[in-house]
Amino acid sequence: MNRREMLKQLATASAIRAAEALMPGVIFAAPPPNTGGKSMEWKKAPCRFCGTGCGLLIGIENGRAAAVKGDPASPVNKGLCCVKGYHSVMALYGADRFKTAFVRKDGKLTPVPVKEALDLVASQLKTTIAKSGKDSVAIYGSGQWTIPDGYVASKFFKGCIGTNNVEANARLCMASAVTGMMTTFGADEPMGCYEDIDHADVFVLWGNNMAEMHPVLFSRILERRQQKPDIKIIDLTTRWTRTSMAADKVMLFKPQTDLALLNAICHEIVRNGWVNSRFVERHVSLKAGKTGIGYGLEDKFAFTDEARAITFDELTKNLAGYTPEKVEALSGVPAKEIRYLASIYGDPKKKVVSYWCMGFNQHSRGTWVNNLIYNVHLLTGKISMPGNGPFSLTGQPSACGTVREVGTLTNRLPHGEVTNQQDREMAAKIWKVPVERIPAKPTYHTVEMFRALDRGEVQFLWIQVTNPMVSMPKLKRYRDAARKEGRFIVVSEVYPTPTSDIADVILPSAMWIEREGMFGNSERRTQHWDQLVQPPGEAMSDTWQLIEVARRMGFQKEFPYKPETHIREIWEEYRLFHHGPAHEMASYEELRKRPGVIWPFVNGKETKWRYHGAHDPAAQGNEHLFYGKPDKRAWLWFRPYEPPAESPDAEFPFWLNTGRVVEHWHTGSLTRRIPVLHQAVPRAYVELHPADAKRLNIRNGDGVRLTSRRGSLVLPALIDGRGRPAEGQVFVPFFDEKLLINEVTIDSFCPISKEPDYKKCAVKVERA
Amino acid sequence: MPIKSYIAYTEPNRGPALAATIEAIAGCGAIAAGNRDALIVVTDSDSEDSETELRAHIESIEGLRGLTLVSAFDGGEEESAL
Repeated sequence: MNRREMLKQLATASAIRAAEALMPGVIFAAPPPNTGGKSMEWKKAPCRFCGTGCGLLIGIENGRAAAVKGDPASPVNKGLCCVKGYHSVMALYGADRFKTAFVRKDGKLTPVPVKEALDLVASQLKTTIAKSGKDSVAIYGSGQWTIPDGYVASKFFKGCIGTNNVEANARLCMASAVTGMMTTFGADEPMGCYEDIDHADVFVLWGNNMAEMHPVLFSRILERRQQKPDIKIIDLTTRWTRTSMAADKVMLFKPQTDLALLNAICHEIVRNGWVNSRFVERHVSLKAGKTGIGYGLEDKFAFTDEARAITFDELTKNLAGYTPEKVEALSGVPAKEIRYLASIYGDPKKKVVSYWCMGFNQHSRGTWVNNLIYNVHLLTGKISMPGNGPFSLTGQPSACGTVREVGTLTNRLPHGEVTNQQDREMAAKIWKVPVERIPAKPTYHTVEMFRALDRGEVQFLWIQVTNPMVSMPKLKRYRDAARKEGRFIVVSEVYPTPTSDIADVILPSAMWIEREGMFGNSERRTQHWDQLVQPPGEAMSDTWQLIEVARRMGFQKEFPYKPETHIREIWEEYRLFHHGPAHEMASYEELRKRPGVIWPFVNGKETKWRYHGAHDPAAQGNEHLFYGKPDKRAWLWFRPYEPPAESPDAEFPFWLNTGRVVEHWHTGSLTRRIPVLHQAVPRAYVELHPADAKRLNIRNGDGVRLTSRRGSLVLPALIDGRGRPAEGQVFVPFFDEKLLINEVTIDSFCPISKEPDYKKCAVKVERA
Repeated sequence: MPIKSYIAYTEPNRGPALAATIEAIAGCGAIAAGNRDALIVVTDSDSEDSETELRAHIESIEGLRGLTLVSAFDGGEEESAL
């Protein structure tokens, strides 16, 4: 087969797979062609977009990644891919890849050999530490870091330099899920897995446009409904989306009132006697925390919660303020719909999975709303069993594997917290560093780290595999901060971005399958891939960049790895942190063999459902055992409704919501270089409700000016496109570096997780 | 030298006939869905202009309810995107 025929077959296969995603169960007269000629070699790798973790087979021909198909052996996607996955390898071959390093000289970025740039990074780190102390240097990575990237970053900064200035952009997307898990269960990451889809009767989606954000998982849900028509999909949302179109029931609620809705569901469960009393008595502790906890708008904001034990009577009394009628007035969801939803959760014969992602997490009460969804499942005992459970979906390919499991956050270590003496001792022992070198106090979470850059407390910032000059809220302050005199910014990147624009040094990174690595997806599945192609020019993996700089700073002993085996060596060192039945990780050899392994991986067996003795060896045969907490119980927290930091008023009368579209990955630096995806959605837009558009005399394509207290932006209008906001609300995707919606957003955050609320701020809407 | 694939939606029960019509156009291939009113269409043309004309031609066929682009490849040997 010639190349042209092969491409035609690939195009046909892509379309068939996409049709299967859009129309589950569709069958074509001819089967998908077997893409690829005889010379093409197919190798496994996880997709590098989104947190689903689809298994891919990459076709390699003449040293280039030439084709993609879904891996039928992957239990995640079973051979399916979304439009981003099918085109993923094209992101390797954009014309403007960084192939060498750049150093700013006389204000201009000038190409230099990578060795020279690495020397400069190391010397600048040393100089800054000598002048201003260890906490004046910081590293900021992401959930797109591979596990080895994040591990060596943490070891280098926390264990060698001795600063907890390690953060990742997962703070902007998953931190509330982490604190929700930690406060309720004392251990992070979901108890279930994607196999829940094959067992559930009802899928409740909370603020989660799964059809666009997790399309492969959504197609699995639709397929299940096609097989069993009594399966129900309930979409709770502030904006009508493609997910709403496919749902059996849509409940539109006003922003922030998910807190009240969840309490109303609990109220109804208690009032109707649907509480699984046996489960609650044996496995649940009741708590309340502080209220009126603030929004983090001021620099150096600090908050510490306190758990107070409460009785079931106190809980009932607290829930009395959340009758369906009262919550209808607040949320806009009719009381009878709230009762219906409560009856679904309360029916012991129905298996229910709740899914959420950024709607809950990017929330000024993100930890609380995560706690509240757990409350619903804990009251009914619908948890840790096939088809029954709450499931937090992730947005990035290794937000779980790297940021949450390796612990690349200021407060975390690969095992546990920096504040815990035993956890620090374990890290020091494995890293072979003095325990005194690992500080016991967290420093800056992400927003505060960029504020510290503005204030001059952080003077050296190394940014890897993320694009904060597009993704930070209230962007102007932090862009201006990075450009201030006396700041030194290193950016490890594959393409020019607004973040590389502010760099003093750019290091060219080897991307995804150009190096060996591992990701960890939403369902605790660790996935390994080999290096499949050569990186361009002098591009180098982020892992090896860190090792090179660490060695230049005198840490040769701590980073003894060999170039040809360093990923294996790092993995085997890292997994020492997780030894034991609660988090045992698979060996390197096991990972290489399989299309991913779910941890805990004990005696050759994955743990698909945690905290239940039938599935989880750490539960020690008990029906349920929530072993993360000292009392071996899950903590049910009463959390009230509180308004967001900013709500519409006379001057700024609209809610602004931001998010993604299926074609683009995060800030678009990769997907905007894939012609098919770029052409499909070439620029950002503002969605308006038709009634608002009519009132403001705005038609499709008209320029619309959005203004907040932070900034202003003109975008083209989109009315009744793929989404429809409720009246009084607008929606803007954030992928477009030329139309930066984060000039407008607010940098308020959840006081517990420190995750910003990108879903709610107040704006004025005018025809431009 | 673009190669593109589309999902096409059709009027009820017209998929196989429309697939045959599209197959007869030079540079076009089509596969009808067996259980939905939909087709896969693949185009193979010399230039973007030819592709635009081809697409317009297909869209003008009676009974077709629109094309949605799924993938596009530059089939040139040197300048291939893949």
